Parts: sequence; C-alpha cells; structure tokens
Amino acid sequence: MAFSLGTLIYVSLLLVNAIAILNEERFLARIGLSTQSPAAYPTGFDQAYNDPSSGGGSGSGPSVRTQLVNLIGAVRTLLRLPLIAVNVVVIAYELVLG
Amino acid sequence: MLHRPPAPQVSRSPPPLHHPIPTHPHYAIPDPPATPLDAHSPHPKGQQGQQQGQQAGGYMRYTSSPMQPQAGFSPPPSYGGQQGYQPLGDMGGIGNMGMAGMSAPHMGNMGIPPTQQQSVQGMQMWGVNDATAAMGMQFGQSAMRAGQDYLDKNFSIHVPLPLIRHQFNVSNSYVLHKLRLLVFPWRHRPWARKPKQSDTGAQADGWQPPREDVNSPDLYIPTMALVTYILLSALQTGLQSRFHPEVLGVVASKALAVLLIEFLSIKLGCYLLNIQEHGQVMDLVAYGGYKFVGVIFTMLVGLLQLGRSVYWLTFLYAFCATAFFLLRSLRQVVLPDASAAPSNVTVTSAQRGRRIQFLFMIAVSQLLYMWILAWV
Repeated sequence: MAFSLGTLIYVSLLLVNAIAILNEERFLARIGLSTQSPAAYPTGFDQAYNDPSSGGGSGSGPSVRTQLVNLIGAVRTLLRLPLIAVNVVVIAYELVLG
Repeated sequence: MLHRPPAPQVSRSPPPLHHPIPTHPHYAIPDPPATPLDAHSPHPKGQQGQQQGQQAGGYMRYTSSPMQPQAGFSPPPSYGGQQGYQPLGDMGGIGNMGMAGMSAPHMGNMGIPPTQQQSVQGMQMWGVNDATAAMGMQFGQSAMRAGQDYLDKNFSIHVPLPLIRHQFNVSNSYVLHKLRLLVFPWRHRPWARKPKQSDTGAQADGWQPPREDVNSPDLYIPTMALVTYILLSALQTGLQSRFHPEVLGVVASKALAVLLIEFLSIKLGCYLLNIQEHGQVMDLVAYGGYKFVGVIFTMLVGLLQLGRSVYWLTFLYAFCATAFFLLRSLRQVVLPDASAAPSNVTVTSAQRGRRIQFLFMIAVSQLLYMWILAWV
C-alpha cells in the first residue's frame, strides 16, 4: 500500500535531483551527453537508438540524444534553485513529521 | 425688546442702545393710538407702554410660537429616525433633542416650514446613504468581476476548459459503443478519428466530439471508471473484512499516481522521439484512463469467486484488450498518417521504427499498470 501520490512525488523529486547533480565535465562529457559536444562520443547506448544519418538533428528533427541532452541541460539550468527550496522543505517535513 | 415699555422716557438715550431696537418709539410718542390696539387709546403712558410691551410680547410670541412647538416636539419621529441612520448618531436622546431645539428656531427664522426643511434634510441624508450604498455595491461588483476575470483567465490558462467540454460531449450510444469496444476491440475496423469538417468543407484543425465519433477519446468514461474503481476496491476490501475508510483515499491516490506515471512516461517518450502534438494532453489522460474499464471488468470477475485461474485469465484478456485498444488508438498520436498529418512533419523510416517500438512499450506497460491497479 506504499504506492501512492506521495511516493510518486518523492520518486520524481529524487529523480530530478539525480539529473541535476550530473556533472558536466566528469560524467556527461564521457558518455557523450554533454551540451558542448553533442555528437562527439557515440556509445553503444546511442547506437541502439540513434540513427547515424539523422544524428545531431540535421535531417528530420532532433534525435533522441539531442533531446536528452536538451532535457538534462534544461533540468540542470532551470531547476537548480527550485530544487534547493523543495529539498529543504521536504527535509524539514521529514525531520518534523516523518 | 423687553426694555421697550420705558422706551418713551428713554427715547433721548444715547443711540447705541437704540440702534438695534426698531425706531418706532419716535413716532409712537406723538400718537399712541397709531398702534393696532387703538381701541384702548385713552390709557396712561405706562399702560400704553405695557400695551406695547404686550404687543411686543405678542410679537415675540408670534415669532416664537412656531419655535415653541418645535422645541416641544423637537425630535419628531421621522427626524429622530433619520438621526438614527447617521453613522455617528450615537448621541443620546437628550443630545438629539438639544440639537433639534437648536436647529429648529434657525429654520423658523429662515422662514422655511420645519417639516419641509426636515424632509429636505432627510432626503439629503438618504441621498448620502444611497450614494454610499451605490458606491459600495459598485465597488463590490467591480471587485467580484475582477476576481471572476482573474479566475477565468488563470483557470482557462491552466485547465483547458473548452477541451474538457469537448471531451465530455458524449451520448448514451457513444458510451455503450465505447465500452463494447474496450471489452472487445478485435473486430473494430476504422480506428481513425474523424476530423472536424468546417463549413467551407476544408479540414479544420480539430476533431469531432465523442458524440459524433466513436473513435474519439472522451473523459466521461475514464472519470466514471475511476470512481467506480475506487468504490469497487472499497467493496472488495469490505468483502475481505479489512475495510477502513482510509482505503478509499489510498486507492484513489494509487489510481491517480498510476495515471500520472503513465502520462508522464508518454509525455517523456513523445519529447524524446520529437513527436509533435498539439493540445493532446487531455487525449493522453483519456487514453490512460480507459484501462480502468478493464480493471473493473477483472475485479468484477474476481468478486464472483470463480477461482484463481479464471481471475488471471480474465486479467490477461483485459490487459490484451486494453493494450490492443491503446495500440490502435495511440497510433495516430504517435504515428500520424501521411495523408492526415500536415506536410511539414515527415517521418523517416528509422523514426517510424522507433515510434512503433515506443507504442509497443506503451501497450505492454499496461500490464504493469493494470497489475498495480487490480492488486488491491
């Protein structure tokens, strides 16, 4: 019975936290998801889903990896300050009422 | 004026005394009979002075006679009532009477009949009250209108009301047909939604309401199915004699969480696959909500106590039906037809393959969702 909206909120908060703490140079660049070099290091993960001909969004819209890079960049840029506030609130709630 | 009886003797007195007093004594001295009381003319001067004093008193009385009843009935009922209407009218009755007694002679001197004056004043006061009330009403109305506008604007921004109205435009035949389709979707043939035909015959952007088109998603069936699912799981826990009022909230929370997860995953997949979709949030919610029909079907069979194998077979059948239905219905969300789609979106074969995989994953994930939902 632990599966509810509250759990879902916690899970999504932790997932967004996990996305937000990804390091640009140390992690994202090594697996080819960096914002600076989108198509620099195609790995096996990308090969499975990404067609080389449509890489980088040249032909028919952005590829999966481009969208993923955009998403991660947007989360890391946009949600940093709100995440701090939300985390503080959740931690305080857990300390008092958890 | 009461000094006038000795006036004939004091007629030579200095002018400052005479100045405010009428100068009749000058002419009154030669012919006392000039007064209206001439009939008693053979009177001594003192008497005459008394007469004049009487007359003056009469005159005084005359001037004061309108004042006398005024002071007597100084707070007339209407006046007092209007005094009571004043916001600051917390003065006592004595203060009121004093006020009336003070003001009434002034009115008498001004020559205006007191009742008219009071009515005029009362109308003024009523007018002031009316203006205040009208202003208050206007202010309240404008505030309420502003609030309504604010609510409308923000509500329509966050919740697309026309879309929701469109989604609830259902009929009895549509609901029956759709339920039959959800339980037995295998033989249904055209799955494409009918585009809305505008008056000019050209294809407008938009779809026909569910009343007209059985393939259109609606929100009526998911809403009712959600409520039915919550009540039915409460009934099931009650039959297992472990009902608690908390069960309702827990089940509702679980159902909403499942809906939200599915919606978010579909949205994420659409974003990653760069699937253009406009105004289809409600469609996705509706398609996600149709799984409750299969879950309810499964739970009803489970309530009949026909054994575990029948229950699981029913569950599998419901899953297959829902998955097939979603596969067919979401196909035009994920894979827009080349004929119906606008020409600026071109789907390559690789994209198409990926989208079909995504569609298949959505359909298969219904197994997980429905298992979570059916397991109360």
